[in-house]
Amino acid sequence: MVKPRAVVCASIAFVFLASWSIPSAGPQPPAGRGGGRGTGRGSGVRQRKAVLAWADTRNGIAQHDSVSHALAVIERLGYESGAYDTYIRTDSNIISRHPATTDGKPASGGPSLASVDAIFFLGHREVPLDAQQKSDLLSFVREDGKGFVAAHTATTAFESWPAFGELIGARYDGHPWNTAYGTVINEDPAFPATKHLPAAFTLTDEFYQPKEFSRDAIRVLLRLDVSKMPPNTDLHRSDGDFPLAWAKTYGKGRVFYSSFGHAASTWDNPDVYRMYFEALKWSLGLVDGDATPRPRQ
Amino acid sequence: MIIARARPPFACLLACVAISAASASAPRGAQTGTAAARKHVLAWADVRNGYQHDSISHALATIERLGRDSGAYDTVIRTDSQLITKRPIAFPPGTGIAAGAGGDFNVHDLTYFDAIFFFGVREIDLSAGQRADLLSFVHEDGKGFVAAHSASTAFFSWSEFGDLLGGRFDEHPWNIADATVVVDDPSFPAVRHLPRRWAVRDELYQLKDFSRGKVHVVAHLDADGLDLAAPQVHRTDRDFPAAWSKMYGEGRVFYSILGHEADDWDNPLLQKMYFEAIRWSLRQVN
Repeated sequence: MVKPRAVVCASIAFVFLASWSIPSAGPQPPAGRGGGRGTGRGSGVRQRKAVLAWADTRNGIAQHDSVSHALAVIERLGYESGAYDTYIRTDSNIISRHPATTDGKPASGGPSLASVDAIFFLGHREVPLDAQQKSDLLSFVREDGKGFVAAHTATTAFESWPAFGELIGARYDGHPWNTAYGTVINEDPAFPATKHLPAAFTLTDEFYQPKEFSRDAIRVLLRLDVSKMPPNTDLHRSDGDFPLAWAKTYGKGRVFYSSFGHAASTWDNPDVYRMYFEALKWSLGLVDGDATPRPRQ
Repeated sequence: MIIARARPPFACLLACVAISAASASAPRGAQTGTAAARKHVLAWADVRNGYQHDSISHALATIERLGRDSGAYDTVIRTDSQLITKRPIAFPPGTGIAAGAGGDFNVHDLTYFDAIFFFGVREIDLSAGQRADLLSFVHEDGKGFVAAHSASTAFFSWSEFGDLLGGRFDEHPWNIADATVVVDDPSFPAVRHLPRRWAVRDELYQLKDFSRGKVHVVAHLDADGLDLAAPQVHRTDRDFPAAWSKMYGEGRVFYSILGHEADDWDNPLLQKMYFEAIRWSLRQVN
């Protein structure tokens, strides 16, 4: 290995984390690497779930340096646990049941919305999808019951597409404190993605202010304790409600969003990456959790 | 430390990070604020027009992890080709959260990167300007270009890319098969760690349109172990390079046929081959 001591130690730490579970957590991934891909070429039958880690950032200038590390972390979590295989894409060609090449001809096989089980989305702004792709994306979740887990800039995406707001559950409304230290309240320690987190904890991140959400439509899992933040004129809600992570259903599909993950180093925080990993497992149907909307806890 | 609440696993990870920082030759830039000193690698795998090997995403993630864990470089992963340019990239108005903020929030282009790790396939849409910028990135700017496996299937219709890479794909007559890789230049950084005879199982590419006068073959497939009567074997000289280095103008280029399956990228020998090749292309080693 390149840095034997560091790599081995990090691997041990990861195995420890991956196997560190709460009895009621449901099926857990096997400790250690799950033996690589679920399928070799030509084997025909996929052994594992497949996740499309999709981060099309071509239509916005705020291309976060953390995106690549986040995609790599999501890939590693699935690969090492054996829970899922990941296709990393920063283009949107396979957001389709029938992907096409750049000249419009049918693609020669490979992943598509017909063959993956969940999407991890870290795109931003106006992602270039045509009408058919948008329809395929919505039905992927709503009719097919596939998963959709989204992070940070995802709420800035598709501002001009109302149905995407219904899918994800809210819209981006700035980050009043930029990167700041804050206290996070865990509203649902029973939910798979947040059961490893304490009732309240502190985090430094760029906390996105959500808008156009309703607690009748989303189940808030984490919220910022606004009472502990300095006053800010960009804070738009008077009721102090500031969700940072939520779960919801969209038709038959399971949807999770969190604003955590602005800086690359945030994706090295086990509490953060475990949240996304467990959210993906929930969205894939590997574990269950109650996403019924409810009032502020 | 971000979440102010220690537990055994987290404490262990912190200790590991400390060990990593102490043992690595370069600091972990993202954590220590020395990111500006780090080299920047674009891990580029535009697969929109060809078969996406199952290994590609794992390879990209592995290349990213090797750079981050060692501190040798930071990686931007892209499966599109937007950043293959030195010219301003146009965006619709109002598409930047941090418009005007500058610095690390802006889009990067080739001028930001010090090397490319390329794992593309088949024909890739690049404008004439992008092609010129890619060539000059290596040829004039002296930046690195490290390419894996299906890279030799890319840009068949673009002759200069063959000059950059050093050769072309000519089928995989044995598909996935066992073979012996023979190291020709044990002094070269990317193969120095390999056994002189390295047993591999991979999708073995036959290469064409290369010249040993232009490429420095650092490892080859032992022809004695190959079925030379297989239908698609075209070479009659028993010359089957497995990895080479070369110069393209001022820049350093490395290519290897290895890495078809995702599992291949878990092999420490293969990881180190590509990692050291990237460091060589970055001029971190000679």
